[in-house]
Amino acid sequence: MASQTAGGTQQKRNEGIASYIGISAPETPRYLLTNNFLADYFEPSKEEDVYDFDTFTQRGTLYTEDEANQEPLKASFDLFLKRYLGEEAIREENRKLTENKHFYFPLIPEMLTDSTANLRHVLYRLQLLDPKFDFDAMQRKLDHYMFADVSGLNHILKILFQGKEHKTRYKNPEKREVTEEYWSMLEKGQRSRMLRLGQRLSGDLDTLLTHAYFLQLDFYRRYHYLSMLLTSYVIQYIVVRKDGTTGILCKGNPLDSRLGGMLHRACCNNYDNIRNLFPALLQDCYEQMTRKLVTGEDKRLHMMGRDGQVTVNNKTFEEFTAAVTGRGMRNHIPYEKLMQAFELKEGEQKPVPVEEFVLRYIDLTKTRRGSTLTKLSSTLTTSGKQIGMIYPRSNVRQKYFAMSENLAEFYVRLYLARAGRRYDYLDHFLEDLQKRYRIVIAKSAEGDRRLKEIKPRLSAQDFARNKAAFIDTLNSVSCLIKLSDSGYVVTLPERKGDFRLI
Amino acid sequence: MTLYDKVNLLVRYCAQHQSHGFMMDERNTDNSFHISLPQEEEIRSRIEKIRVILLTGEAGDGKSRILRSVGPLLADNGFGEPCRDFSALSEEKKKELILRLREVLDGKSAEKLMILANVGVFTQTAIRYDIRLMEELTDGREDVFLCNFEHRNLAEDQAVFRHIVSRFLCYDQPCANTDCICFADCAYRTNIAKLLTDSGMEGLRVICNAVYLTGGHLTFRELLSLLAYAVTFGQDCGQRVRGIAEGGDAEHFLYYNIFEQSQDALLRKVAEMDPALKRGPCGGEIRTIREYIRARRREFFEHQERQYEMLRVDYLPEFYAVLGYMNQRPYHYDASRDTNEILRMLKRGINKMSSQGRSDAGLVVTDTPPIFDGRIRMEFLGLADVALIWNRYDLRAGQAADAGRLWNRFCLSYMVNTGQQKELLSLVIDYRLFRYLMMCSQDYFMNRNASSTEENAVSTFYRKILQQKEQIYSSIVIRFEEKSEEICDFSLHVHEEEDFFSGETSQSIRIRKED
Repeated sequence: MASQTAGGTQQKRNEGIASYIGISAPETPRYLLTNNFLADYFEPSKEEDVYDFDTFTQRGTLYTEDEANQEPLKASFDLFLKRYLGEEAIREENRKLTENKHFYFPLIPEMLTDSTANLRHVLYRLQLLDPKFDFDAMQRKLDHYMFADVSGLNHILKILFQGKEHKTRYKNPEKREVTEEYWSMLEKGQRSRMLRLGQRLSGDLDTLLTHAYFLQLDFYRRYHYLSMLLTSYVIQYIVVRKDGTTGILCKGNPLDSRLGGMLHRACCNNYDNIRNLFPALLQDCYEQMTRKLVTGEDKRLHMMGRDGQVTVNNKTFEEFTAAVTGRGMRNHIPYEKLMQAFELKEGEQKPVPVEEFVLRYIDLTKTRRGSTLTKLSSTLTTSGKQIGMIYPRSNVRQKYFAMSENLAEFYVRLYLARAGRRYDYLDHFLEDLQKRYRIVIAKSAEGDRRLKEIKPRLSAQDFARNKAAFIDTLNSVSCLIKLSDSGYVVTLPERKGDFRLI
Repeated sequence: MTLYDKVNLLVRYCAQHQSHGFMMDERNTDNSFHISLPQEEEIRSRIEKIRVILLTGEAGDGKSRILRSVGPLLADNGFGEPCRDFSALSEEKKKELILRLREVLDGKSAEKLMILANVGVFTQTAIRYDIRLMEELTDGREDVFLCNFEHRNLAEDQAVFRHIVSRFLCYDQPCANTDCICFADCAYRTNIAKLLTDSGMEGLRVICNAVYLTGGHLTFRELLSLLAYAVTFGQDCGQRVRGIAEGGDAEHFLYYNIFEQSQDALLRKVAEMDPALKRGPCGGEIRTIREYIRARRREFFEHQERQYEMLRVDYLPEFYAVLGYMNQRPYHYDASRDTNEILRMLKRGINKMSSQGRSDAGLVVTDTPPIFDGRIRMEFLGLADVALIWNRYDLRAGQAADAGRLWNRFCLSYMVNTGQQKELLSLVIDYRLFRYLMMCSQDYFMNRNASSTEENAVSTFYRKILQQKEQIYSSIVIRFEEKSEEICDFSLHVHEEEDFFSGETSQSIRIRKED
């Protein structure tokens, strides 16, 4: 029986910049993102269940005849559960999670717990943007993919959980007008790009949920791959939102010594370029909001500083900026700082154009901890780190995109599943990465078009080194068969032996 | 041909010689040297049955030479104009040729085809236009002759190798230049004489074999270049005489100094194997480093029984010994009971790598999901005595596909026998993996920060085995890397019981402490 709609109840009326961009902060670790995505399709658990040695022995699904060792067995089993039910992994990577709530891998529907939807259901709504999207079919496939498996360790866990399992509780799709409202910030061109991105996401999900290359794996691997796909699409969303052409210049290996120099600088430049989406959108958004607040013929704002109070169009600075940003009056900025930032003189009224006001305001607040911009921008970095696509992992400023071994293996698996092949030529795979995900690793005309703004310009040799490093990455996860000095075939690690060479 | 003429001819084959760029032309016009290789002989013997010949390999592997040699025979047997360079064809022509090949394989065309190709380019085109073609070509069809020269080991067959060396280095008359200052002590003469002896030829063969065993490939052209260098060191008579006259030491140009450091890629590989870089016994009184180097290198060319051992390549004698062992009938050995000491070490290495420090030799299949590290891992009681075998690389249905061949790899395999289907799931062990596992067995690699290529290969192999065993997860052992008094390893076992009266079955999990 379907119940309430997904996401709809959590809509906020005034979301300011977050609603303009579509997201407000990252959801980490990637398992929480996956759980939240699943909670868009299925009812999350309302109960606060704890799973441990005592729970299962009381329920009669676990027993021991070894009474002398009951204490160490209990401690060991609980430690094992903490890891294999996912609580340890989720908590380790998100220290802000409330202690009162338990977060697990959804081994059974009852274990599905959602958390704050910082990404505002962006992936789910990307899918719903397509009028032809078959919600019910996707729901059934997700249900089967996540909960029908009894292979691997799940065989034992499902016996432990018996009696606890209920049928998955399906949700209804979100109402069309809610989705439309969510995407209302997009212009026509942006909207059609998002539509295509949503179709790609649904296509990839469909492949992942139905192809034997994923379905034949155990629960942990399936869940891992679903999390990789969803998190990779958060990055895709940011890149596609940026514009219609920008590509991801991706190092073939995160730490290869061959990829220093020009290539490294170009990769950092590319990352910066993509990350700059957030300040640019912030400025656009604030300008639009500010203009709405300006009435009358004079399109400028009038600022005045007097007696320790700065006013904008006769409102206090805090009131005015709260109206612009859509957030509460939380952060007080000292009077002297405001006077200095806007170059005001005591008692004098100063007309300020909207653009100038916004620029100075952003400049004044951008570095503050916990600011909207900081949270928004961290979505890219945090999501990228989660799937091994953004390096280094430390908090240094200059970051870059790179292909980790696990991510490369995931993309190969997805590509071969989509193509319905057991193996394919490396160059075809690289071409697909470029066309479908804008990920540029080797030199090509398409890549040049996507990276035309990148500085410094890269030579064919730089790209050749990058490709060589990527070949090593693929080789180290057993996804590569070398045919000759220039010919390589990509395949799945478990199928590598099937490909017979001449 | 006099020795003088021979030297002037040989030096042109050297990669170090200025005229090396013209080597192809030199060889093409060098009618004094022709060798018929086994591949050529096979084409001749099977020509009536063959309808497709596909030769692939690097430049210098001898594809064109074979084509020249068997060209008339092919024409007489109905082959059309051969495709001499598949890579050079336009995309449209490549596609057309692939489709023609398909017609021939399907028996829809009576055409006979010979194609010389770069294996990468050919495979790419085949995958693009006919995904099944590769499988059919490699299916062992009688009417298809495939040869990828990149997998050929010219040093494998002792007789063939000696034939090449003796034919390439032989001359029939001594040097006529009796006034030459080197005449009495001519290094060229010494080198050729030594390299034509049994121990000399065997020394060169071991070097070439080591390149192949460690995963390298020596083209025919490179072999000739190496032989020529071992005699001439890239110098003709004129250069040598000038050097000696200026006070140069002739000893530097003796055959055993082939191990000297060089800029050339192939010679660099040889230099890395230098026996003088490895500590070991050498005869005579040694006073200086130079004397040690000389003695070790010379000894390598003298003692045929210790040559693999003397080369500075980790675990090469062990690898070679195992390959030899795999090359004997019945080509496969029970991995649990076989007592070969090297294979036992290898098992220990696998266990130490995947089971983090276990030291006994019984193979234990493990499976830890990739999202976890190995601090808590799963082992399988049902696979404690898993039937694994060590086997030859090309073992199919108890038979070696090419019994005479010494592969540079072998397998650890799990036998799948479902009644309808008998299949081997194999972990291919090449030199790189062998070396890694041997080092693990001696506790060299225990890094737990990330999975290595080798660890990935073994865990993928284990996963393939686990997929074959439906009930394997009914009985598992959970092991903790860090032991303490509060924590113990334990097993989980699915317990099934049937209600005596109602006949209903129920399942529960039994937990017990494990040692």
